[in-house]
Amino acid sequence: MLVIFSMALSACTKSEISIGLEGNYIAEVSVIKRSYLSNEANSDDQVHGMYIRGDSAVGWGSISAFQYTRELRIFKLQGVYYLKQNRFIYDSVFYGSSHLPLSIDHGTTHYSSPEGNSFNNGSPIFKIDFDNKTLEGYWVIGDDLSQGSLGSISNGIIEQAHFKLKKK
Amino acid sequence: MRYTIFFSALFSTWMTFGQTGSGLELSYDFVPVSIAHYDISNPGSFENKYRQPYNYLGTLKRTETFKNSTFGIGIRGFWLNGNEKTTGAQLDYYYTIKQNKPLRVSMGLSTLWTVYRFKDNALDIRIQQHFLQVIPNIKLVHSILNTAWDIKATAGIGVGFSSSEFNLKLYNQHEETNFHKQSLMANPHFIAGVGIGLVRNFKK
Repeated sequence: MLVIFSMALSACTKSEISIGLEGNYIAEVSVIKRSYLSNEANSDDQVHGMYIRGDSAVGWGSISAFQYTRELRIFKLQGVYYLKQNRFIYDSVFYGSSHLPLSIDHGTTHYSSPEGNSFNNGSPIFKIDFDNKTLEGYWVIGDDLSQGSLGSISNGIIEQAHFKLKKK
Repeated sequence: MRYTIFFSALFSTWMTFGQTGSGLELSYDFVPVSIAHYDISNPGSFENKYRQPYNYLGTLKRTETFKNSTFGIGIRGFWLNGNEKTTGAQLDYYYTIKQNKPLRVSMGLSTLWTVYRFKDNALDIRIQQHFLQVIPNIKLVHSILNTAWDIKATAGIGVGFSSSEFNLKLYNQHEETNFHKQSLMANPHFIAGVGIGLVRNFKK
């Protein structure tokens, strides 16, 4: 029996036992809204509390721009789950670290960048929520979110999308 | 294969001359040590936390008794959690100071050694930590009547040491950057520990 135990222990050291959310995923993304930012007077819609012009939607008319896939990785380190993603939408998103600490409660997983939903002089924002069982959820990705001058549209782009995670 | 040979040898040793007994213990020891806990979303930031080493499950130990002296050697079991891999060992010596069946009181010293590693080339993160805990203990063993089984409890206060190293390969860089390094002897700290366990005795 002891030999069997030893062999089992030996086998365990060579394999990786993962539980919970850890793993590599493909996110199948369906964009709900993606647009340049606007100011309040010229806006006709909002994403994540930010004003947009619906007719400024990026990739409008192109199906491939609104249905795409993206690779994600979730891993656990010292009791904390992290989301790994080098480039979410543009190179400048996530200055510094691309390891985002996830919080998990009531069967859902969340991350929200500290910038929140204010115009923030170009800082990127990222917010993700998904259900741990269905692995479906929503994210908001924003880059270069400075407010345009009165009557103009700024360069900042914001995307709100639904996604479904599939384990690779 | 080397693990198989080592643990097979460890748990199948024959009793030697002068030995009065041997046993196999399964225990859970709660011995928090000062661990460098990193927030990798903010490289460079960390805090030392007193906590049980991550993913600890329990300890399986072989004991050999010679009159009043009991030596123990064991492995500390850890859940291999994805990229986190931890291994550990424990070495004990106890001297029986009072025996009044079914209760036995011993005093001794436990030495616990643990290594924690986080590594994955795809993640560009590398963490390695060593923990050493030396604890003078008092041990109470209560025999379960008419069986070869005992219940044991330990408690002690001692000293712990921990080393830590955190490296990260930053975006667009080929070389690792070291964000934190702490040597084993630079961080001695007081520790306290308690443990409970079940012992299977093999009488000579």
